[in-house]
Amino acid sequence: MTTYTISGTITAGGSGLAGVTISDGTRSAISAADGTYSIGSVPNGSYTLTPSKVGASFSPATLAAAVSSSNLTGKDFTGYVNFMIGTSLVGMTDLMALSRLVAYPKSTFVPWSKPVTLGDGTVRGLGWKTIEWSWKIISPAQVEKLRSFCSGASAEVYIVSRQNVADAFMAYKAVMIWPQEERDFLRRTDFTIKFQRLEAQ
Amino acid sequence: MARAATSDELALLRSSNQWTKLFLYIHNPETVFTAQLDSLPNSNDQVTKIAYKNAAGSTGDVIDGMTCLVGTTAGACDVGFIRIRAIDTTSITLGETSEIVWQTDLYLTILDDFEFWGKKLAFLGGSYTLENDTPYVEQYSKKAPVPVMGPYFNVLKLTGSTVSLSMDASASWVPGGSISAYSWAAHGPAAVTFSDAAAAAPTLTFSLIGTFRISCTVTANDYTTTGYRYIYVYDTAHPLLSDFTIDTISGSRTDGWSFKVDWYNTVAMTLLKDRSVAVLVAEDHYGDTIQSIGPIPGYEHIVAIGRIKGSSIKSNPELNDVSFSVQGNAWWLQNTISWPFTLMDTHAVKSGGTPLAVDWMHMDGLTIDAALWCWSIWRSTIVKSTDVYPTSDTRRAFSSAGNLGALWDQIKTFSDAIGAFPACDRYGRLFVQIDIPLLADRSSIPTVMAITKQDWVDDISITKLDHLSTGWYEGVGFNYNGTNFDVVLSTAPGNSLAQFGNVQTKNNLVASSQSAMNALVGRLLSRQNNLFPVVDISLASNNRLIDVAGQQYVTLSLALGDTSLGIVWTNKKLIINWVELRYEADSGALLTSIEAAADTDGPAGVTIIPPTPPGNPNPPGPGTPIHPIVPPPGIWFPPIIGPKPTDDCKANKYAPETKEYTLYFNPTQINGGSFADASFSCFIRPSDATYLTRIEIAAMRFGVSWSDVTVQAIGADQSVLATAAFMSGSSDSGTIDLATYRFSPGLSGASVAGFRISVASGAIVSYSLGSFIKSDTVAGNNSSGIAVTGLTIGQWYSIESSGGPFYFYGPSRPDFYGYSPQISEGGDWYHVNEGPAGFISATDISMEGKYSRAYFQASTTQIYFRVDDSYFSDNSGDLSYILRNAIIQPASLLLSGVGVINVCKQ
Repeated sequence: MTTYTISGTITAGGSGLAGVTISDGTRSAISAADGTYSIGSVPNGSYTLTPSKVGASFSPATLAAAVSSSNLTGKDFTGYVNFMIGTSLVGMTDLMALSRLVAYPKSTFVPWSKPVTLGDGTVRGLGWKTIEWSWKIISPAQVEKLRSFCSGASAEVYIVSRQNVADAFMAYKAVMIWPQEERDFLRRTDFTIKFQRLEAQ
Repeated sequence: MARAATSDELALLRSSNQWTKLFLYIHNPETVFTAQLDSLPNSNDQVTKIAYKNAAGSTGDVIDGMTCLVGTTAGACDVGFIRIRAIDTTSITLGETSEIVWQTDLYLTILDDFEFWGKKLAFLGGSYTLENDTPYVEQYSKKAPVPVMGPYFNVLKLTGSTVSLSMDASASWVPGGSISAYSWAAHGPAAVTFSDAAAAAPTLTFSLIGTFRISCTVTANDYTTTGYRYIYVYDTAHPLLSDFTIDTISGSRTDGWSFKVDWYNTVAMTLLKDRSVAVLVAEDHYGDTIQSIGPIPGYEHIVAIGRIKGSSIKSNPELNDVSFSVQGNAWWLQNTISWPFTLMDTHAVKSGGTPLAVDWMHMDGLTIDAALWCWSIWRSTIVKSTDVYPTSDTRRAFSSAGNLGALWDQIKTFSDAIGAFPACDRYGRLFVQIDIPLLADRSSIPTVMAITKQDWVDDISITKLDHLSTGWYEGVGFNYNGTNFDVVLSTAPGNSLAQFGNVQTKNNLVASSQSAMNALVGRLLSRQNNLFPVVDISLASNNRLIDVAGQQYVTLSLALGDTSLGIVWTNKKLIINWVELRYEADSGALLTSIEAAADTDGPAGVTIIPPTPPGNPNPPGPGTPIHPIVPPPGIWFPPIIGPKPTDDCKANKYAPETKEYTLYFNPTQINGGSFADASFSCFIRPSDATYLTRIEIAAMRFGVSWSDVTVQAIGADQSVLATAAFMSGSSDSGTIDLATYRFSPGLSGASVAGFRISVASGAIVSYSLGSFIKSDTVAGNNSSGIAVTGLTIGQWYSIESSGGPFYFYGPSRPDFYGYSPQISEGGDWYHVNEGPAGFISATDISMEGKYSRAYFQASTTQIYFRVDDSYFSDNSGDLSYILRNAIIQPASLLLSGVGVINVCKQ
């Protein structure tokens, strides 16, 4: 029986996303460092491609793939990975890829920063949305990378994060607030970086 | 102008996640021309022209009204600021100044910027002359237009290849006329594309970053006026400032807008300059919608515009920042002073009298808008850089005046005649607007938004008066009857006093009829007795549609339990008095708070008849037309009507009366041969050695002795009742002198309408150089001299040589007669007035350096000029004469304070 290949690229934050498992329901492949993947030994037929990676979501969630006596290419997915940061939407850094530790940081979304009580007794949330990233343990490589984006107390960056666990990941332009006292990772076990002025991209 | 929020805007104003990024642009204007002072002016006083050298730049780039820095180093302003009026190849004509201490080689830096300046109207050579060189010709009969182009500054971001902005000059105006043409132009780093440079509202397209000066020349009545505005275009690579904080941006209708900046950059000290324009720019987020909401299309993102107050710039090294305050146009108008502003309608004459002649002080068809027009076009420079919105009121005014003082106060004073006042919005646009509670028709006033429970935060604070503030309000005004003016008087609530409250009076009101006057006085009383004068509301929104200037309402609906006062309102109309934009750096929320007053209205007052002056055998009865006490030009004693006097003062007229009443004279500067009047209705008490009826004057004298000053009491029929005798006076040189004038006991019991101070024609105090007229060469051995022709009889001139002693004399050319201003080799003597009388009338000589300059008033159209050495015929060289116009300052008295003692005020 003649078989064929199904291939494509997984990108996230404008860069290839490695370590993504793409399955056609029977076979699977893992994306390389540049985000490319190739599922081999696929006979003619119709398949549904599903990417998966811990801590990431993808758009589209699935892709249809019909193999008909030839290799299929261009089956691309866009991945959204928490804790991605960059100076633009292209070439963002996956912070988690810089750590060999299993522990993932926590992402906390705050829908407004200025709640006010109106004359009718209801509450209106004013001010910008914020996201806080906090680590129990952070690697030196992660700290170094964060410092490269924010040498002072604040800087304008792009991040990928999500509002709630069940929500999709979103890309934001934001102002990273990283006070000096939060940078001393050798002496502390809790580190917090606040991103405010979130603008959905 | 204010407008109602649209439904889409209301939805945004009521949305969640409102936040704002603030940016700041500080404009350091381009230098268009630099030079150094070539020669010192004659004196530091009243300088109107200076010679320059070492120039750089094109004189063609210099525009009337530009600011010029004067400093000891290039680009510095440590010596001061002057206003440019004109420039030629050798000299600069400037707005008259006495505040510059001129020094050799001072640096002059002309900036591409237009500030506020007052213009002087002086009494020169028998008539009023504007800025020392502009006589009245037809300026009031053919009025030049006022350009209205939008805020002085805009800041645009170039994100693609071009960025566009629509500008609108369609609100340009001229009293009694219309704009016939518009002409737009641009000056900047690149060409600006206009959709139609002759349209009232073209679209401008910019393709490069930089600062662009946009001009619009509007035409009306064959005259043009040009306004200037600036657009700063930037891009991502050249961002606006963002490393600063601002707590509040606030504005009141009495004092305008201001804000304070903390800039995290100590290096910035050197970048901050006094008077630099600062523009606060917002990127507004309403949820996920990025949009700014404001009253002017294309300027919605501009939060406020002002100029840096130099004295506020402070460095805080500990905080690594520099702070400064930015003041809007209201503050600068309140701190820019000018000469007295006075206008009188030419028909302000007695019934059957001949209308007065039109000149700089008299206008046919005076209205408050016409006065505002005159003030804007001729007595200040405001129209070059600021939109001025008139009241649209067409009622004829008897007179309009503003004292020596702030430009703001002058508008405030004369516009009060129709209940109007000046106010500046966040952009610095000046609105002279009638206070809404005094309007008969308020149907065109827009309601910016209806405030309901979903709009305010926390509690609404309302101040409610528990009793009336004013129990009696009287108004005295003038109604133009088609020929001249009738006095109209009214009082509210009526002929009976209210139980509580004070007594208020207002004079010089403008009314279109007696019934309109009654209605106006009724509204004045209602405004005074506003039950809800203060309503404080904190809005849950970034609302920049609401402003303190430009007539507008907000409405407020309250249910019983919404306030502790239990007030129930449905769409209650409120008038904005104060607005604050509070910025919270932790959340980015820019929240608006307002302080407003409830609108008021009330029943009309009633007509009143003025009290009968003592001694008048035929008092006017009910229904008798009351004609104003109309004076000859320059005199005005409006009747001041008050409650019927209790006569205590007169009843006890032999008791000591030591109260001193202040008299307000108009004008406050009296030139030689002129006078000023103060209305003050009173009875003269007996005057004896103990209780002197006297007037005490504090004034600065310029070429005037106290014996030149006459003080008179004037009756209601304009007759001179008495002339006071000079008693004593100080003569403190250089400071304010005090003098006392006493009325004779024979005046006792007389009813006086006012007082007059006049100054006898005296010497001319100072001379200064006017505009260059011509020069010519004369051979050193030409003993006949050369003719200097084309003089105007009666005009003042200066003449000097280019470097040697000289003679000038009249038509008969006597060898040794005429004037020979010179300095001999051995001394400082010079000849004055030695020639036969009649050819030239000169009264002073101003010596300058080795050789002299003569100022003279021509009594002939031609004189002769020759060099001094020509008598000896041994000089083979040449000299030149230089003939200029001369500017003279007559003797004058500048009143500081005047009081009258031992009278009973009516």
